[in-house]
Amino acid sequence: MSNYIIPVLIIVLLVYAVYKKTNCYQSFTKGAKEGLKLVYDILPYIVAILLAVALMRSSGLSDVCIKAVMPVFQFLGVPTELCEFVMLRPFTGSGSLGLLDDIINSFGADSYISRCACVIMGSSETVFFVSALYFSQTKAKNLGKAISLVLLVSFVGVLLSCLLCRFL
Amino acid sequence: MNILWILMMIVSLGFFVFGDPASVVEVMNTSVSDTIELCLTLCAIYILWMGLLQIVEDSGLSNKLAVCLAPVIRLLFGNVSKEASQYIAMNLSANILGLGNASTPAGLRAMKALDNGSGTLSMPMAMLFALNCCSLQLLPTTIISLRSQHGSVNSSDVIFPIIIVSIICCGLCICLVKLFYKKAGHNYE
Repeated sequence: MSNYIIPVLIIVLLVYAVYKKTNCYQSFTKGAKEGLKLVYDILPYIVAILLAVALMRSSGLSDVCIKAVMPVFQFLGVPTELCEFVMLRPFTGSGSLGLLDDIINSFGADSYISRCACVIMGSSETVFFVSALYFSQTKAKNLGKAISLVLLVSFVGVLLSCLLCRFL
Repeated sequence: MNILWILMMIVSLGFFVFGDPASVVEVMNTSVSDTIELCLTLCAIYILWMGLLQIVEDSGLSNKLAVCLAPVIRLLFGNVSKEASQYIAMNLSANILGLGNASTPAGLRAMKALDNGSGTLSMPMAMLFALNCCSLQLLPTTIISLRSQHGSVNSSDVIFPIIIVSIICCGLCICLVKLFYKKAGHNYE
């Protein structure tokens, strides 16, 4: 189904644009130019955040953090096998997708652990990456409140995912 | 963000000093070149989608979309400029359709349009960020295909819990943003 969404949407858009007598070619190139500028704008922010994440993972700091929070997770009903995954999710999209693959591989696609991980993956976002992207567009300084708020909600989402997977 | 970043960098580098100082430079280099590779991919995606979004905008479709979604936007974001509400409308609808690649450029432009340059994060900006952090997607296609690849019996049985959790998270995000950023007080018109 999803394979059809994009081509059909684009066709509808182009037909509508022609009907409205828009110069599609000119519009497209104008937008594309903006897109190029956008990447130029966000590149330094992404480099900064991903550099910090890479250092954290390879220095062993993330392992230490994971060990530290493990008891808390266990207490709240999150399987210990998912600790690393839950911790990495806000930082890296490709990294957590790789981990999800590992989890499904080692526990089987229909196990409780994998289902949990899938629900967590599907209902959350790479918060730090998204914040680096979105806040690269503003001069606003006081971002702590918004980021911690979103992280809190993501964590509630993790707890909910684990709870729901027990029943569904 | 600044404090967090410094903390992450210093503590990680500290770990390296006591662990394996020789590999620091290599790790940093690989990371940055990986990121640049990622940016090339992003570049391709953004150029394509920004081009298409420009057609959406110039044909007046985004205006229509914004008018359709006006009640929702008004409820969530309060009083925002016409330009911003168009981008917000595109961002939200692309998110729901699962077009993550299209939603991000629209969202970034919305963010830029919402920024009034005062240096503080206003309620609409926080709302936009928060909504984009709880994936609103209707069909989590990547996850479903990953599951069926690994021989799941019923690969789509996670959709239901994912949607429930997403909706609850979104609701929570909206409430918290509204609560903590009470009166935006900005009139953009």
